[in-house]
Amino acid sequence: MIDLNTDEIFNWPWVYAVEVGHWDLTDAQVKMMREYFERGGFLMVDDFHGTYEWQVFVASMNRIFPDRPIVEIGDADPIFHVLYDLGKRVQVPGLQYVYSGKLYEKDGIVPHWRGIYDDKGRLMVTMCFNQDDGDAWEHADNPQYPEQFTSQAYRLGINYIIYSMTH
Amino acid sequence: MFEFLFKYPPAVYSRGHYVLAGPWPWWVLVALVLIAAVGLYWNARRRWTLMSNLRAAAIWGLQTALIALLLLLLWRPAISVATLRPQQNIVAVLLDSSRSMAIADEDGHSRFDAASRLLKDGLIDSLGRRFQMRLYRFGDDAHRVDTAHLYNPPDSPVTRIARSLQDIAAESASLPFGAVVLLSDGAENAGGIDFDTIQRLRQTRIPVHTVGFGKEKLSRDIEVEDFSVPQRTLAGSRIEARIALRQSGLTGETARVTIRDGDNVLAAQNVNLTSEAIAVPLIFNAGAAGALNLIARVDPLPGEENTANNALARVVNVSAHKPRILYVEGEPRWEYKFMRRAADDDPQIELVSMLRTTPNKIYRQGVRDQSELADGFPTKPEELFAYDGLIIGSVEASWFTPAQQDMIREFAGRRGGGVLFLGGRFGLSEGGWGATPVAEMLPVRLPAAGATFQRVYSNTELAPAGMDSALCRLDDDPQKNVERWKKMPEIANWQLVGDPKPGAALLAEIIPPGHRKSPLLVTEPYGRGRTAVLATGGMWRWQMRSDHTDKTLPTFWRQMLRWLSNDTPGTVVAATPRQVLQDEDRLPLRVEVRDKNYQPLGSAVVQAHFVGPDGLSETLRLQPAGSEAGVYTADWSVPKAGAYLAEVTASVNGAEVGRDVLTFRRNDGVAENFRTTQNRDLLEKLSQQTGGRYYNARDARHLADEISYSEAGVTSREMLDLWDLPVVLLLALGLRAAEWLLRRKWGVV
Repeated sequence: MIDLNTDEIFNWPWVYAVEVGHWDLTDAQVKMMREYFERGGFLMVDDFHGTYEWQVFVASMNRIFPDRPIVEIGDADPIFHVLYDLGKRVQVPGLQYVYSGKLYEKDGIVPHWRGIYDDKGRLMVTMCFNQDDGDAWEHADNPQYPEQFTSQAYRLGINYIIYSMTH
Repeated sequence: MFEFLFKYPPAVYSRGHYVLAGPWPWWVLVALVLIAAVGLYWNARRRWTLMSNLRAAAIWGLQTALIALLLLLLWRPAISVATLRPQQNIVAVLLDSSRSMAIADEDGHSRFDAASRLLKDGLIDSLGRRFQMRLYRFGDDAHRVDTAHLYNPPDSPVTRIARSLQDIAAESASLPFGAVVLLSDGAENAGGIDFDTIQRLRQTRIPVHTVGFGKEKLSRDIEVEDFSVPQRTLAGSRIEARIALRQSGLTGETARVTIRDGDNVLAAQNVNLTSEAIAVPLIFNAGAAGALNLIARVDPLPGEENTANNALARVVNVSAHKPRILYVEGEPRWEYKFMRRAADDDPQIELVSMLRTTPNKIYRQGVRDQSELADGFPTKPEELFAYDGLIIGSVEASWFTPAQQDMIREFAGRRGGGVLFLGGRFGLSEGGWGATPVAEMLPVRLPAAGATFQRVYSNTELAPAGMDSALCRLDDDPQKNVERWKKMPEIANWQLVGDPKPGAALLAEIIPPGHRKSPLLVTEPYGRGRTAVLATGGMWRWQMRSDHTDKTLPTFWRQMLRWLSNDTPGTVVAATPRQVLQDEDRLPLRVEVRDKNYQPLGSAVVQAHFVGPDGLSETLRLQPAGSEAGVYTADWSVPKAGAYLAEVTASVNGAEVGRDVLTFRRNDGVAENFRTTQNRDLLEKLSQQTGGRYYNARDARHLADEISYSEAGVTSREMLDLWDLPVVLLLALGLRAAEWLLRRKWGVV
């Protein structure tokens, strides 16, 4: 766990954040996050769903990068091919899928793989929206959780890490 | 005094052979001396009761020495010496007529006036009485003059003593030269007398007697003695320059040294003049591609006697060539990312990388097309040697075949590239590199594997050699650069790499808390190329722990990438010893030609096309140098002052092998401004090596007497008696007097 009220984040060039549909960054944290990205840091956000949580996430993200758009990452982007070819992907649900049989939560029916690029065309922030790759990693050993979601989640996470170590 | 005591000049004793001219054999002399010694000993034994052993031995020794001396004189000692026959030999008098002879440091008169006065006031007459004389003025070469023109004011822009003496040696083939008298300040502009000239003179056996003029040291002067920069570099690179200063009378003062390109000051430094010779290292950026016309200058100091020697020019060819560097990494890690980013931001560098993401997968970046490195690390020399630099990251030696390991070694040794080894979990000792042929090329002696890779937060600092290295220069100011290294964020992983090898340069060190320092960055020349070890994969923290505006890490990596590739030669390399010809018209050109495997290519057609001022265009074919395979040489006569460009091409059977470009300048009217003090060392060595003698203006009047003793020209051998030397008489009297005085003192008369 990294405390954004310290400068610990600068020791970690790759950071994973979950449930960012509930975050509310202070001005100091916004400034620190922007500095983090400008130094070369990489953020993967995950496990946030539906219109409301997106709006909450974007509200803080826009304060970090008011000048950079959030875009869909194209299938041909190197981040989907750096180790595993993930041109075709499926929505990865959280553990709730085991109980509800639903792939989505709230009104987040359509999965998105979005990101923010820097001036050189390198991804700094990636968003697994309407998905929960973290649950797929966490419950990889749960026989009730489908293996195909775990496999993709692992491959996606590894690709994101290797991408951030090479771009 | 010498001649009073010894009757003949010193030259007789240094050139003659000693003989005994008496009628009896030498062994009789030895026998008589022994008999006399024994007789005197027997006589002395009888008196030893009157004095101590030591005193008796002293008396016996003096008596024996006197008898031996007198017996020696009976055998008529003499010296056999060759002398020039009167009026049958020619003495060449060479008067330096270069502009430096106009310097007025001979008691208010110019050096040329002092030399003229010496000649007019008796030397020419005394020489003329014994020999035929040929008078020469010399500067660029020697030309014969009559007396009326000998004393014309000095006007030659250069001094070429060697070339002038070669002219005389050539004439000596048909003329009986007995000696050369050379009057000069020794301000030779070609840098010295070459070995060939000395050999030629020794073969002719003509002694060169030198007469030196001018002060040996100016009272207040500073001179730019040398200005060394690489002949070529890549655009945007840092250039390491070294300016050699020599000063007299200015110790304790401060001088400002600058390097300029036109009016643009590229580097400047204030230098405390603490000693006579000072080397000033300066580092500056080469800027865009093109020819850099550099001037190294010392601002004139108050009261300086000669300010025309305060600047030197050099040309640097800044190349637009975009080197390609291959980076092999055995595991994904953050250093890879930040190195790639630094290279991607540099338009002058192409970093081609292959990253082992799994044991079976390689991720390639920076490749020209999908076929490049598709089969992994190159297996043929021509594929690997197509790159200009090579980086081996955290990857085991066993990942490469033995043939590939040999190629890595040859990449530096034969191809002339730069190879960098990085520390890491699988790198260096942990990767088993110490047991491979590659260990030979490393600048460190690798320790045995086992816990050499450390994960300990540690600071870094420059080692003394790193302070003057362009590779480690993060700030233009040398002192700030040292401080900056100390203040950089800690690195959190590093590797023990052992001690630097002899000849390696330790540039930076790791300071682990509580432990002794360990090498961080070590470099070494290897074969035609160079190698380096950077014992960490954790420099990335410099970027993540510093403000995003701080460009220290990308600067460091860009400098490293340039260091790896900057001096990497192509298949054709053209070079000349001097890219700025100071009043010289001869450009020696040396071209090295190699094939794709970088083996010497001896069957090429090599041509140089010169383009110069006023539309000059000329082509010259170079010839193979017999002593070195793949080397072609030629001398080109540079017709006039100005800037020149030579494009050199090499081809085999009409197919071009490679090409290179060389820029150079000829500057006229500047050489005589330098080394304006009398170069006594050079004149002394010249006379010593040819059997002559160095004179200053005062004792040159004896020259005519001493010059007669020479092996050159038309000679006769004379036998000069030594028995009647005044010094012999004095010695005999001295021995007798010493015995008498001792006896008086000891009371045994």
